[in-house]
Amino acid sequence: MNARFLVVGLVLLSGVGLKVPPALGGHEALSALLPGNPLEGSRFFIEKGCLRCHAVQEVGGVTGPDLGRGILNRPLLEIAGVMWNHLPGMEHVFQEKRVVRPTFKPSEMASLIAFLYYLSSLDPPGDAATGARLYRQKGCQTCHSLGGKGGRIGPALDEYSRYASPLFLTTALWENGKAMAEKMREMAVPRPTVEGNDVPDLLAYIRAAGRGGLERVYAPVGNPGRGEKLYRTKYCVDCHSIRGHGGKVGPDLGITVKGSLMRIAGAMWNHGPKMWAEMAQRGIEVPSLNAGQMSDLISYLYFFQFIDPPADAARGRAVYTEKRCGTCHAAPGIGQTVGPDLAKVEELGTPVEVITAMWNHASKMEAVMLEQDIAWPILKGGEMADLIAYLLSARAGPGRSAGPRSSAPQGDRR
Amino acid sequence: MRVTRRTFLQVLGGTAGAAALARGQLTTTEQAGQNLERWATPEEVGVPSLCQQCPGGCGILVRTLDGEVAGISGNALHPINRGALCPKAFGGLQLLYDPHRLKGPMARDGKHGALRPIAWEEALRLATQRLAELRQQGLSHTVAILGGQYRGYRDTLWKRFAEAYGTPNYIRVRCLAPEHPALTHRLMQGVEAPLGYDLAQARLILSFGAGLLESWLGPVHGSLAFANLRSAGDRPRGRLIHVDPRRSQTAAKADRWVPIIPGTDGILALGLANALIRERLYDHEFVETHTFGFEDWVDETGQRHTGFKNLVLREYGLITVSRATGVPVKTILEVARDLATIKPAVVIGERGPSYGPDDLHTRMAIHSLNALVGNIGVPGGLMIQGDLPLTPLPPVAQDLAAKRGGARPRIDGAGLGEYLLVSDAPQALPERMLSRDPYPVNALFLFASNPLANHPAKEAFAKAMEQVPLVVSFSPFLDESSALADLILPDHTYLERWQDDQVTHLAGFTCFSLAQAAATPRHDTRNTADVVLQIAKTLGGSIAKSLPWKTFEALLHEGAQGLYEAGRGYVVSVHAEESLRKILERQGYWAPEFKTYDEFWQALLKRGAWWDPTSLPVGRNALLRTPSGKFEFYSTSLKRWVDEATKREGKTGPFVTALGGQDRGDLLFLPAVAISPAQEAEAFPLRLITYRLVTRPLGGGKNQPWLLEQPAVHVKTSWENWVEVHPETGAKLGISDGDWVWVESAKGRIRLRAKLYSGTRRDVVQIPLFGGKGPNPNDLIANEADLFRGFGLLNTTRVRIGKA
Repeated sequence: MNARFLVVGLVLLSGVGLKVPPALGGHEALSALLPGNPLEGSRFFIEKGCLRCHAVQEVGGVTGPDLGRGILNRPLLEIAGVMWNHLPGMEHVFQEKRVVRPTFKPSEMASLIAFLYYLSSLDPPGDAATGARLYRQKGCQTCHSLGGKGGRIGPALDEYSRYASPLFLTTALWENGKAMAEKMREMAVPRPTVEGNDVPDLLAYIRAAGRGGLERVYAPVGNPGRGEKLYRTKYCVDCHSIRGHGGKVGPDLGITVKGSLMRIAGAMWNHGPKMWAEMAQRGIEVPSLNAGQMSDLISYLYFFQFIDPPADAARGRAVYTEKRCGTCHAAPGIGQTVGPDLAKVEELGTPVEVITAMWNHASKMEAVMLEQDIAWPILKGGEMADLIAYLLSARAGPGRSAGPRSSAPQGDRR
Repeated sequence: MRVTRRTFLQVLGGTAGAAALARGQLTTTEQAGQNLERWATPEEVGVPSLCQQCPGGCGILVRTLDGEVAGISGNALHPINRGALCPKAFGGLQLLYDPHRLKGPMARDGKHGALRPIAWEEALRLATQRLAELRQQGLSHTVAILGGQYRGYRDTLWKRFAEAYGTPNYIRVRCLAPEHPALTHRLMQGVEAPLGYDLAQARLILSFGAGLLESWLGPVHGSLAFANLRSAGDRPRGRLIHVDPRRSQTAAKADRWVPIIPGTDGILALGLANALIRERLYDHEFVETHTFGFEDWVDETGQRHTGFKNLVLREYGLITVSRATGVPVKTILEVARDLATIKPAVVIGERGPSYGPDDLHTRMAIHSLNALVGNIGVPGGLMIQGDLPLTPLPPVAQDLAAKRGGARPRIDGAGLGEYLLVSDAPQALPERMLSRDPYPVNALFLFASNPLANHPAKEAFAKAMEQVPLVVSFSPFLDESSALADLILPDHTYLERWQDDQVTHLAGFTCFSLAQAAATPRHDTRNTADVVLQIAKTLGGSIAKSLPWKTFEALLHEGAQGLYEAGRGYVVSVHAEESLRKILERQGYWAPEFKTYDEFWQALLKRGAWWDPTSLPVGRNALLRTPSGKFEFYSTSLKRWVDEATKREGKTGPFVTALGGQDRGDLLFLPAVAISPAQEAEAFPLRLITYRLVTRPLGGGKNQPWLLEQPAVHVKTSWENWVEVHPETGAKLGISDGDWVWVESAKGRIRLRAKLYSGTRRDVVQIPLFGGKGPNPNDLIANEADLFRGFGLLNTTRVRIGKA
C-alpha cells in the first residue's frame, strides 16, 4: 500500500470541511483511500510485536483477543478507537512482559489498521463434511458429477478440486450463472442460493471428493485499487452507487454490502437473476470476470466498509468536552495546557497522524491522568472520527490549515 | 602497568596508524600490526548451508571469521530443524579441517602402483579419454556409477549424464531411498510420491523399530515432533509406543517400550489388527468406504478370496501372536486400545532397516494398521507430499550410442527377475561384477559412497573392484574404496561447495534447501557436480547438449526459478510471518513476497530454504491411487506383477520364488507373515542386531573424533566399538562387563569389548555401526539380500560369542 496516498486519502475522507467530487465514476480521490496491498501492514504486525500478544486465527499470542475473529470488521477510525480504549490494559501487559511499547509512524499505523481490517475479510476454512451436506441439499449433483457420481448436464466438478480458493468457484458461478439459471428454469429445479460459509464448505467437499490431484491453485490477494477500476470498466457503476455516488438502479453497495469476501461474492450469485434482467433491459452484456478480477472487485467492495462514515465536528466538540480532553489539552475556547496545544502541533495534520500520536503518547497521557485522577476516556462507535474532525477543524484557524499536505484535490467528508 | 592483549593491540595499532599518517604509507611492520588487529577483530559472517551428515536435511548456519569457517549452528529459519541440531552437524568442521584430506587429484601408476598427485587437467583428460574410448567401442553400458546417500540436483546431474552417455548403471548404494515412495505404499495405496508422516500433529505414534530420535529419516525433525507430542499445551499429551528388540534411545524415551523377538514385527502388527477387529475398535467408516480386500470377496470369475479380516481372525490369534513375538497378550490389547482411541494416531515402520526375510509382507502388515485406524489423509496421519515445482529441465538428448547402451540390462539386475520391484539392487552388485553377469564392468565411478567399508558384502566388493580396469573415486578422503581407485578427483567437502537438498518425504511438506560455498576450498579440490559438467562438455555431442550448464550454480539458479514462478510456497522466514502466510493459504490466497526472480534468489541464499507447508487437507482420493481407488489390503498391483511375471518366467520364476512361491495363493497379496517355529540354538545361538548411533554420520565418521568421543551413555563408553550382551547371557558364558570377546558368525569373527546391557534380549547381541577405527560389523553380516529393497539384511545373521 502506498501509505502516503492513504494518509492523504484519509484526510479527504474524514477531514472537516472537505468536499467529495460529485460522481463515483470520476471520483479519483477514492483510489487514494484504498490500500494497494492490504498485507503490507502484516509486516508491522509482526515487527512491532503485536503477534506476541494477539493471535490471528489461533496463530500467535493469547494475552490479547484473537484479531482474526472478525472483531475489527469496522471502519478505520473505529478500529483506532478500539485500540485507544484498550491502551491502559495493553500498557500493563507491556510492563508485565517487560517489553517496550512499540511506536509507529503514521504510514505504519495506516498500514497496520488496514491489515487488521483485512483480517476480517477472511472466511473460516471450509469444512468438507458440511460441504457434502450442502452439496446434496442444494442439488448440485442433479447436474454435475463429482468423483464419477452425479448428473451429466453441467461439467464435472472434479476440475475444481485443484483450486485452493473458493474464489475460483464463485468466479465460475458468476461466469456461468446465467446459463445455469436458464437450465434450472427449464428443468423446473429451484435455483439454490449461498449463505455464510457455504462456498468454502462446498469447495472443501469438492477437493475431498473430486478426482483432482495434489495441485493447489491459489488466488491472488485482491487489490482494491485495481478493483475500483474494474468497478468502472465493467459498468458496475452504471447501476450501483457507493454511498450515494453512482447509478441508482441497484442498491447502494456502500451500505448494503457487508461481510467477508466470500459473502460479497455469494451475494453476487444470489442477486444474479435480478441483475441479469436489468442488464438485459438496458442492453448491457453480463460482464465477464476472471478469478483475479473477481478478487480485485470484491476486495474493492469490501474495503469500502473500511471508510469511516461522515464525521461531525460539532459532535466531536461535545466528545472533547465530555471526555475531558480539555483538562490537559488546549483547544479554542476549551481546556488547559498540561499537554500540548493540539491546534499547534506540527504533526497532527491528518487523522492518521492524530491516532498515531495518541498511540505513541499513551503512556505519558495515562501517567498524567492517573496523577490527576482522571478516568481513561472510552471512545465508542464514531466518537473517534467525530473527535478528530473537531480537532482538525480547530486547526483550520489562523496560521494553520487543516487540509491535506499534498496538492491532492479536496473533498467533503465521506 | 599490566599489559593486556587488548591494550597491546591498541598500542600497536595506534603506533602503526600514527606512523603511517606521518609518512603517508605503511611499512611491513605497520602492515603486520594492522593484520594483527584484523586478526583480533575479524569480520564475522553467518552463511546458511546444509548439513550432509545424514539424510535428515537440516539447515545450518556456518560461522565464518574473515572467510574461515569457525563454527556451525542451526538455521533457526529452516523448517526441518528450526535451529536445532544433533551432534553430527558439528562434525562437519572436522571433515573440513581433516589434515588427511586429499590435497588434489591423484592417479595410480599402473594397476598396482602407488597413487601420485597429478594436475586437474591431466586427471580429467584420463577420465574423459577412457569414457570416450568405451563409448566409441560400443561399451558405454559397461561404465557403472555408484552413488551414495544424497538427493537433489547432484542426483539429477548423474542421472542425466548416465542417460546421455549411454549406461543403465547409475546405481545407488544405500539402504534407504527417501525420495522414492515406499514399496508398501505403492502396493497398498498406489502412490507414486513419497508419503509424509504428520508427526507434528499426531497424538499417538506407534513405531515399529523406527529410531525416531536416532537415525530414522531425520533425527532432529523426529526429536522436534517428539517434543511437540510430549508437550501438552492446550492439547492432551501425546504418546509414543516403540516396538524394538533393543532398548534404544527412542525406546528409553518412549511412553511404552514393547520388546519383541527380532523379525516378528509383522506378526505383532497382525496381532494388533486382530485385537482391533475383535474388539470392533477399527475405523468402520474408513474401512467400509475406502478399503478393498477387508472382507472375503468373490472375483469376476466367481472365485472366492479370503479377506484381511478373516485371515487375521483365523491365523493371528493373540495367544499365537504372543508366542511368536514374545509380547504378552495384555500388552497387545493395551497397545491396540491406545491405537484405536487416541486420535490422531500414526503407525510408522516404513523406511527403517529390513525386519527380516519376509520384509515386504511385514511392512504391509504394519501399514495395514494405518488403514484400520483410518489415519490416511487426515491431519496427524499419513499425508502425501507434492513434488517440488522446480523448473522442468529439457529432455536428455540421446544419440544412437546412448540409446543402445541405455537399453542394456543393469548389472545389479534391478527391475528384473527377483529384483523386479526395486530401482537399485546394490546387494547383488559385487557378485554380479565378479561373475561378469551380464557383462564385465570396464569403468567404475564412486561418488559419495565407500562400499569397501559400508557395504554388507564389502569383501566381495573389494574383489570385484580388482577386476575393473578403471576405478574413479570422487572422495575428498583416502577412504577404503578410494585407496583402491586408479584415479581420484576429490570433491569439496559440503561446506565448500554449492549444493541443494530436496526433502519430499518427511513431514508433510516439501522443502528445497540451497547453499552457496560457506568457505573457499582449502585444497585443490573441485565440486564433483562441476566436474561432471566439465566431463560432459569435453565428451561433446549429445552429452554436452544434455548438460549445457557452465557451472552447478547455473543449474541451481535455473532450477529454482520454478519455485519462484510456482505461485505457492515461501522462502523460509520467521515463524510468525510464516504463520500469517499459512493463514492466508488456508483461505486459498497466496501473496508473492518478491517482485523479481533475482530478489527471490538472493533471499533464498540468505535464508537457506524454500518450502511449501501443506496446510490444505488433501482429499483421500489423492492418497488412494490403486486400481480399485481404495486402500488395498489385497494388493491388486502385486497380483498383476505376479501374473505378468508368471506368464513371462513361469510359476517357479525368480520373482514369484522371491515372494515365497505361487502355492501361497492369496497370502502372497495380503499382509500375511508366516509364523515360523522358534529356531533351535545351534552353532550360532545368538542373533546379531546392528544399529546406527545418532552420533554417527554417513560414511561412519572415522575422521570426526568429536563424534567418536560422544559417549554411548547406555553402556558408558566411547572411542571404541563394543558388543552389547544381556547380563544373564554374559553370566552364562562367563563374560563380565568390559571383557574382550570374539563375536563370530559363519562369515568371520571380530574382537570387541563386551558391554553388559539389560536392554538386550537374552538371545541377541547388539553391535552399533560404529564407524571408527577397529572391527567392522560388516565382517560378520551374512550376505543375505532383501529382494524387495535391494540392500542386505542387516539383522538376521546368527552369531556366537566367547571370551577372547
